Amino acid sequence: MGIYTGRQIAEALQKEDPDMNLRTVRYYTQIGLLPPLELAGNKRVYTDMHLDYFRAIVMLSKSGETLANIQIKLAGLTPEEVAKLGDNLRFFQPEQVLYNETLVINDDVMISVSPRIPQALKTKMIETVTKLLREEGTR
Amino acid sequence: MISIRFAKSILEHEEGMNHMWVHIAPLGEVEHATLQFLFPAGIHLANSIGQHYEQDSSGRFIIDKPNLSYDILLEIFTLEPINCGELTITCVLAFIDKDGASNCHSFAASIAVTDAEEVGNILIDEEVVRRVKEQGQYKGKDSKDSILDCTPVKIIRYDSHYCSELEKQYRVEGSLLNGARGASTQRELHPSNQQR
Repeated sequence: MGIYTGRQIAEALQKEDPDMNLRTVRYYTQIGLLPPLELAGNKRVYTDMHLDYFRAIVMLSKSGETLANIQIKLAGLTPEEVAKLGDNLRFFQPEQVLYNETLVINDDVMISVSPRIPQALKTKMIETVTKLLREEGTR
Repeated sequence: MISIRFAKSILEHEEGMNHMWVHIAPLGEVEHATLQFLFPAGIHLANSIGQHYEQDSSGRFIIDKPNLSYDILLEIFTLEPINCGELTITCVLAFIDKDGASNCHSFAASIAVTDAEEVGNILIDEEVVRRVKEQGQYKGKDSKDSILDCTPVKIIRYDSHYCSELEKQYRVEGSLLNGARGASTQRELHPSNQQR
């Protein structure tokens, strides 16, 4: 399990959200948005679980939730579910939203494709996924 | 007349954040009421969170209904290291009273600035924190993100069950025989292909 300082957490989060900073990391910790920090020796440290919590908080706040609602939502989730939430953070990156195409195959399957993907490859991806879904539907 | 409370009892001298909740009691029959904040060097005011406060060209907050109570929630922060110690934030309330006379009242709020590495027990004001948590994520009109991009998301819908006419006519369904691809498929006649 990784352990981190507040600064390391901030640097890790900045890779996904440039607006994150050390003061926000500290503040969210101080106002109780996160589980208690772990003790390593006589120092309190962040762990991978805290990093997952931060990513989930950032992701939910980008979707318009208040911190109060975020706290309520996260309280009802397991650590694994919180980690999964944070994985969606990439879909809220401005470049992702502005430039990527969202291919909606059906209500359950959507593919986000960057403009760097050639059209031929895009078509092949769509055909492959469509075929897989049809095969699944005929079972 | 004015009460000022902080979310936490200290502010880190570097990369610190706090919130000020300023509550103004009803002022009565006054006009042109404004509120101005004066911060020590190194303490910055962030764009107000969650809601837009009306401000004049000098950055003074306009109290448009002075006969009602007024609440402001402000985010303050430090960036580069500043001197530790007790620092004072000044709040200046100005208005024209019913006799037409200008009034100006100053209120001071102290905040302890401490070394970020030596922060001990912090006292949290739960009421202020509650208000902070209930605010939305609105960043304010002068935020660097203030340009609202309404570019519609490119959505392309595909119906996984869609078949073109040619596909319906010539579709081959079934399993492969003897590992051979393509030609040796056991052909299940599609209704459109059935011989009469």
